Amino acid sequence: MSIDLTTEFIKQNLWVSAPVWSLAAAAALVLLVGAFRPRSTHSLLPALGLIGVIVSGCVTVHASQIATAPLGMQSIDSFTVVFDLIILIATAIGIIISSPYVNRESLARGEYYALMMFSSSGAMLMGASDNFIMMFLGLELLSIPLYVLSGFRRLEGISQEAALKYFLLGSFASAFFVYGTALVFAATGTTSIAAALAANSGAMLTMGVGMVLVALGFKVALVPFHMWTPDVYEGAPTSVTAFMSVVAKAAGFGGLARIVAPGLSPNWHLLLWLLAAGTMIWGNLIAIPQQNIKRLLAYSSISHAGYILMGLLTLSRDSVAGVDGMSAVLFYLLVYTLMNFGAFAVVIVFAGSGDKAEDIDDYRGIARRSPLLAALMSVFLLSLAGIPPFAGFFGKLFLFSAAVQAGYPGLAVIAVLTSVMGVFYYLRVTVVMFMEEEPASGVADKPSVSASPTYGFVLGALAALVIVVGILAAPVLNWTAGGAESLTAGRPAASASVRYCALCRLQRFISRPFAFDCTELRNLRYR
Amino acid sequence: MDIYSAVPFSAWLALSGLLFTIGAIGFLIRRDPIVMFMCIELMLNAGNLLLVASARYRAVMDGQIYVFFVMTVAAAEVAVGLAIIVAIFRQRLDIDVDEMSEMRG
Repeated sequence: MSIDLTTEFIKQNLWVSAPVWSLAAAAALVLLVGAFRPRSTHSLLPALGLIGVIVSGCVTVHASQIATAPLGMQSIDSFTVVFDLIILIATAIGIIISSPYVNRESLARGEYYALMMFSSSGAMLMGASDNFIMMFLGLELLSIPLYVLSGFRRLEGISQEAALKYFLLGSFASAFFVYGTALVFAATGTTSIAAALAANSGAMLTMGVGMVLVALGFKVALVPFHMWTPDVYEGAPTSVTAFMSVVAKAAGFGGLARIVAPGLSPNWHLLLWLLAAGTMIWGNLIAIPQQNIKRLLAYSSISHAGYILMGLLTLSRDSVAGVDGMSAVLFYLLVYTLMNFGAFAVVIVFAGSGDKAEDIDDYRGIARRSPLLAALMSVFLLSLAGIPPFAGFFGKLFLFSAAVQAGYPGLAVIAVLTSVMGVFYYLRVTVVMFMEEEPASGVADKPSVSASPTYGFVLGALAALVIVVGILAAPVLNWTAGGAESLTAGRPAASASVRYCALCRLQRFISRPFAFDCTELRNLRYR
Repeated sequence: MDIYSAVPFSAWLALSGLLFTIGAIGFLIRRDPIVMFMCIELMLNAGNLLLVASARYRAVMDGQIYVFFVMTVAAAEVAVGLAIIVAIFRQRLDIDVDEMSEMRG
């Protein structure tokens, strides 16, 4: 790449990186206002943050129409736009959910929202990076604020413990990323992801790519690298757990997609296959005996990482299968954002001041006192379990059918069996809420749990979205398919005119669940 | 004759690999968070060494630029990590990681 410092070049650079720096600038503004304005104005910070997120979303969409030339460091193709918008939606929900929570738990300090937004800008950088240097910066910009946020309740033992564990193991994983990319650079002489992976493979390159995959597997909590997840999720403030479970996971998968998409050598596919299978099996299995609701959701988030990795694997096949799989992955990330935030928001409301009631036993018979909240929790849990008509069902359906079409039927069978295991522990919470009696001793002194207006609004909106996205899955899937296309551009059998008819696919899938004829399905889509 | 033509690239690779391994093993067997963190720094610097060495031998400057980013980020990590450790030390006057096991399951 020749260095041509003309105004046009600088302009292009600024537009390509606009999504990241616009959100980081908004975060810096929130940080400064929090530092220099009196405490009485701090209730305005979440609103300021939300405005920043919305502005950044507009900048992202606008920049994608202006910036065209990929500059080798990061790109703003249609995948970046869809991915960034999902991250921004998650950030907005995270800010809204946090604001009453941090006030209740007296955690309200100016830097809270700024850290959250910095972390999101790192996530956006990871999903946009074409170069290992950029991906490293994104990874760290994502992680370092999260270390601080998970220890935000700094006077409490478990929050400190969560922060220390996350920090030590996260930095350990980062060191693997740095050394892995150093090996890749030593082997190929380039830090560009596509160029490095296109080079002839050798032992050094293989080791390097392996270490990078370990580091990203840690971020998204794939199974041999998941040990930190339950402790950090339990110890961190609940709003941070919700944010982290969605954004850090999405960011890791954005990074993985950028590495798998240019064509990872086939030897890696078996490893990814094993990681996905192990994550689905182990995550679901260990979730069953959990007694703490946050730990249960932590293990559930691990198992969801397995499903998403299965979708990513389809990128290894031809472009049609790749678009199928990646659109399903993006769809799932969006749906996962909605339902996971919903479940954690109900956990926040039920736990009460000081986060006292977080065990599943505390949920016993709670439907008598607050039927509406219990019903909302059931919607989110059933959606996480993948039960129709909620969005989670369609997310899983698209992922599983994409895996089958891409030629991973074994993995899809494991996924179906493990989601049945998942239904068991999600339903257990629902059963405890609705069917069991409350312990007699506590009934008299427990008032009914009621959500503040903010939570009422957020929970209602999230539940409605979980249902609406489920019913209107086709347009959303079309949107994410647009994002997936840019990742598979230039692959064999690429066809820019692939358009989805998700509903025909769905009918087909339901009517003939065991007879997959890929060519027939593919032809259907063009009708 | 400068050091680059006197020392083969494989020597740099071996040295950085050794440093990385020492760091990784140290991280896994030591129980003092500050020492564990020093081991992570060692691993990062092993990466830096490999990056500058291969940048020199391949005459591609990307590796040297990467090193600046790694050093900057490592400094940011130190700030956050030491702050976390100090916050814990103030509360418990003891920072052995084996003591940090309130959460189980």
